[in-house]
Amino acid sequence: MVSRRDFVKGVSAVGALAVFAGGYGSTIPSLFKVRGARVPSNPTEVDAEAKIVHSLCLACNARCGIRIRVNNGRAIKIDGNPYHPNNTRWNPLPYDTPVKDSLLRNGVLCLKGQEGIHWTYNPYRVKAPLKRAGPRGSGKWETISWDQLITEVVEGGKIFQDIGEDRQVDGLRQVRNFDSVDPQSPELGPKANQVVLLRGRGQPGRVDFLTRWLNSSYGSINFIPHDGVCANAVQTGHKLITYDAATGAYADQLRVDIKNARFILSFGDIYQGGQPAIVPAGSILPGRLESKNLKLVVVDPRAGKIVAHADKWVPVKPRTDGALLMGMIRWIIENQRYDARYLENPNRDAAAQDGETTWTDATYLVVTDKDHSHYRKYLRGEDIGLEDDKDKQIVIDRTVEQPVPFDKTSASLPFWTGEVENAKTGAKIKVSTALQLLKEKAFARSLDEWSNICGVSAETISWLAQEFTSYGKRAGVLMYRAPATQYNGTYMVLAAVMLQMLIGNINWKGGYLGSASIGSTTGRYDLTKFPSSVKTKGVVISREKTKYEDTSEYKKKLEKGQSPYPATLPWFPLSYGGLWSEALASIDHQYPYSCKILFTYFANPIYVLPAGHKFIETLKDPGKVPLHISFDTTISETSMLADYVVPDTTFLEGSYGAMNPYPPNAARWMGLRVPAIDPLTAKTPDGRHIDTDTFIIDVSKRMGLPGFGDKGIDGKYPLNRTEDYYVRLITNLAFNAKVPDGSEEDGKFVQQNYPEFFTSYAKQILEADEWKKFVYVVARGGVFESPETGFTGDTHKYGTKRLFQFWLEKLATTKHSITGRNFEGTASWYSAMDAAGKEIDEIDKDYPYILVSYKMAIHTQSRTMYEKWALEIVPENFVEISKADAEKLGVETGDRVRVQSASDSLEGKARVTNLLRPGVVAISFHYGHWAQGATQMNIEGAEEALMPIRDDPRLHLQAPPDYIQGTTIKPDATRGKGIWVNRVMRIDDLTQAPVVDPIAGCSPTSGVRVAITKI
Amino acid sequence: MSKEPTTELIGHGRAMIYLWLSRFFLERPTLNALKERLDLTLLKSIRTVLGQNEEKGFSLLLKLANMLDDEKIRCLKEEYDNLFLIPVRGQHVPPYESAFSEKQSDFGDLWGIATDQVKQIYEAAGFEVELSGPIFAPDHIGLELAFMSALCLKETNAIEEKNQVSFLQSRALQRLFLHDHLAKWLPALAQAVEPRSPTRFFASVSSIAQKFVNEDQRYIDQDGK
Repeated sequence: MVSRRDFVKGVSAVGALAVFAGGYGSTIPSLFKVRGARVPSNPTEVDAEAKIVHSLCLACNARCGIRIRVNNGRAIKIDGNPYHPNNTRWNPLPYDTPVKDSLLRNGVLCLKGQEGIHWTYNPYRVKAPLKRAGPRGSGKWETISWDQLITEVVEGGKIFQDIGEDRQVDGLRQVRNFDSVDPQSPELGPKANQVVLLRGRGQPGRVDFLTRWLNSSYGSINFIPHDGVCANAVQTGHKLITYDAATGAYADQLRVDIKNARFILSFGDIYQGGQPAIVPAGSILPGRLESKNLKLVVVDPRAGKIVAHADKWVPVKPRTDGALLMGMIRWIIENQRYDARYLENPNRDAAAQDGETTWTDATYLVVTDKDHSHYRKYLRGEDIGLEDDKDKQIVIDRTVEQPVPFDKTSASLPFWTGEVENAKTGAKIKVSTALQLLKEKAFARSLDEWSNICGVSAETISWLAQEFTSYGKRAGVLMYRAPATQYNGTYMVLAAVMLQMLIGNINWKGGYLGSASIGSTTGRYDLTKFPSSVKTKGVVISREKTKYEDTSEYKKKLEKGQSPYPATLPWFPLSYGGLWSEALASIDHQYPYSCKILFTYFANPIYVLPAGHKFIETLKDPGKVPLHISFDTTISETSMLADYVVPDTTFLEGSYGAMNPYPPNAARWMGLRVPAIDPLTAKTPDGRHIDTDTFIIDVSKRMGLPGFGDKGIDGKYPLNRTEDYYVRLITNLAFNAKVPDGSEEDGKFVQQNYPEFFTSYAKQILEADEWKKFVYVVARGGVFESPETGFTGDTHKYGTKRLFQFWLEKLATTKHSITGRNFEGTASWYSAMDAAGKEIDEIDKDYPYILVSYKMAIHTQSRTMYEKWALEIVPENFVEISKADAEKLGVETGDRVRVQSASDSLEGKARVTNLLRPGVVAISFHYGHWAQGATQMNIEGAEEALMPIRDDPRLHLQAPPDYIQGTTIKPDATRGKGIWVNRVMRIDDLTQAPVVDPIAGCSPTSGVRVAITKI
Repeated sequence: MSKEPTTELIGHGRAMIYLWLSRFFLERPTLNALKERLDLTLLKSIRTVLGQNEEKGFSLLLKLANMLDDEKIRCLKEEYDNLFLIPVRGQHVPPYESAFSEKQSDFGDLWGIATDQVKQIYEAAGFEVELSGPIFAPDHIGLELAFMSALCLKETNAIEEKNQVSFLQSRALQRLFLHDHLAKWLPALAQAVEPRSPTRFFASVSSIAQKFVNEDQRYIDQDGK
């Protein structure tokens, strides 16, 4: 301790020093400025110019809340919404916090979200309807009127006669025909199915609106999401495991509780391309890891950003994650580290007695007798002569060790194999329990053999298994598309989920959690119902969700005495669906039927699909795609092949929606997307903003389709403009969530800050009591419960309470439509194969490296070349090569290299790195564009069609200053830099489409074998 | 017998020391800046304020002052980045009050209640904080130290202007801010930096800051009695 006298003396001496007379004095004013009236604590009261809007991001699909600051009608800054758990490390402002108090705090937001202003004011953005003025892909366009667009799309005709195409094009009116598309194959459904919509980024709200139109109003079954190039295998795997045949219900994905788990096994980099994405995961995990109450292990051939926070990086061989998991399963069973008490519960009541909300089929017997008619199915009561319980699965009771129906015991044996007897006939049947069958798959190889396959030492596999089973139920797996969207991805997902079933972590705090949500399409208003709605029929053109054995093709082959296998193209009866690559392959092959009108919504399959460029000729061919309409904000690699481009709004202008984040979300968190500014798109003659919704409404009204017009909603309310639908959707959410009435201040905040076209119409059509609840949720950007309310004790209140299955009866009894062989019925591992069942590693053995692609945390999919700030940070991507391989190849960073696969090649700049497993090459996604401002175009009426904003430096826009010269649009060179990794992805020799997972049908953008040469 | 220093001079000295300390945390080290900050006369003067309390830390700074070169600066930059900018487990110390005041174990959430409180105190003092670059929240240690400096200067201005009300307001805010915020969490920050500072530079600076704030709080408390 210093005496006061010495302290005073010392500081005075310092105060007198000349050294402080110079620069030091100026530092304080630069840090702390005297406040003036300019700084608004409540923008509605202090600054009439500034407006604040709470909404939901759509820069990627993480569904984070946003706070948009609008000055003079322009959005100039985007932050996180402090009410939204995603943006606040699950520590949001209490939902009842007055909005003016919320303004003192911002939530976090990633760069992608902040760059929303660059998307909205992108100089290459399309704001008026375009029609091609040359052959598809020529880059020649003309600006057309709204009426011309609607008329030509609906009525068809010789609509391209003026550019020398004399063909007659069927419009939407002609194609809407409910006669069979192929009378010889009536199962395919009506001709209306020849309208196909490929949906890219879609979220509840817009997607509800679009499916309501295409399915229920127009009558086509072909609304095809993009899941096949996203997380379809994750969803397929979860669906198979949780599917309830009686109700058709299932859980499509769960994820480890990132806030409360003690051990997380992450496959891939969840910060860069997965869910939950960088904002929630990147803000929660580092703090928890620093606090040492969480251990994180990352399994990935490439060390992504998340590895900086990990305890251990396990550089697995690409597409062998499933083998690693099977090794872990083997060790866990061998060392009895599973939760036996959980696994012995054969039914809901037994589980409840143990405090569990889920139970498994671990103890259910499966017929393994090849000669039995129920081979590969569960053993049921009828098989052993139990007439009263003939449909019930059978287990071996733990006490009496006799077969009994699953609901007649509270504990049964999980590992059992043997024979049971039919009490009536005396016949013996060979059976094994479901878990026994998984054990046999795991024990089919030794730990060393699993190690050899995945390239991870047996010691590490054992350590992982031991760690995974050392935290009770507070351990789990974090995965999204990276490990799952592989040629053999479905089985990887099955193994990952079954690993967690072994420790019984489902619905436990710190374990494997699902979603919580609140509905918004029904409630106060039923937005799904309307008179004369259509029930879709037939087969989805991408051959998903239908068994090949149910097709006329199969039956005809049988009738002719031929082998029904192979099918002409593969079928995917168990896929979660959304198979773009198969849809385009079908369109190309005109199998099982042809397409007449293609819509691409927020979709860029040419760029996004592996080897997507192979479909350019398909989309150029009017014989295969007679009419193509694209909904887009710019002219992308796919919309450049369209006949018409319908300009769409960005998430700052509309694209309404109400949705929860991806799992895990502990409680009910429903973000709300509403416009923050007036849309910049052109207007219809009656003054509405042009976007996808407006197009759908006007087309439908022109055709007289059900569900639109003065009584379009539930036969009672109008659907004449976009807000007719979405204002009621928001009202439904507010009432379903039972939010309190908004205060006068809430109403004032909404009316003063949110665009007038939205708020005034809402006030006009809503009842007074509806308006009060409407403003409560709109002012806060959604409905957000406190995270802690999501748990009852340590159990997830909103968890999925159901049977989880080790034996997948449907999968086990389904045949591969090309080879005719049955699929395995439980988690297992097989090498990557093409459609004909040939091993990729064998047929491509001359290509010694495996290429993986990855996404960056600063970009989203195919559409972020407008991100000026991201491009400043990373202007281009590289061919990343491990140091060991680079030395062998004589390659140094900066050298140009060629990457050659069996299908195509690319050239790029090399970067040598230690962050990659030797034998693996990595290239990021996002770069190497040839559209979206990267290529010259010609547009008649360019000033009207594009987004030339030249007077606002706050927007930091990116384009050459004179980029519009008459009808010529000059490109911006920064948007075309780098490499398009999908060029070298594997084409299947049979389908001439990308190689896909034979169960999920997903098309991997990683895992292709390549050769590398220095140029 | 020497004359008792004026309150104005004391205030000025305190302001300068707070500012001197703040810049270590606010700015990534550069050769020129450190040459200025580690001026020998200056260092020795500041050392007298803390007497024998911080001999080890000052010895290191004095030693470093004599051997500053590009390589040393590179190491210090790396340590600064690892400590305060890059959230790598085991190396990173979030230099924000909220990470310490709301922690459950080692570090808590950023942008917590403390952040709002600190911002409100800045505003109550009539200041608007300028956030820039990697300093993204108002409860950054560098900003809190600089804020104390600003309050000290405000106090000296009040003396100069003979504005008793302003003087007392500034003192009251200093007392409140030290008690509720800066002096409360700085020891924990220094403790967290200590094992993560391979060059010992930021361990020394943090320790000096902690000791100074501690002594200054005693001075303010005693002066008000």
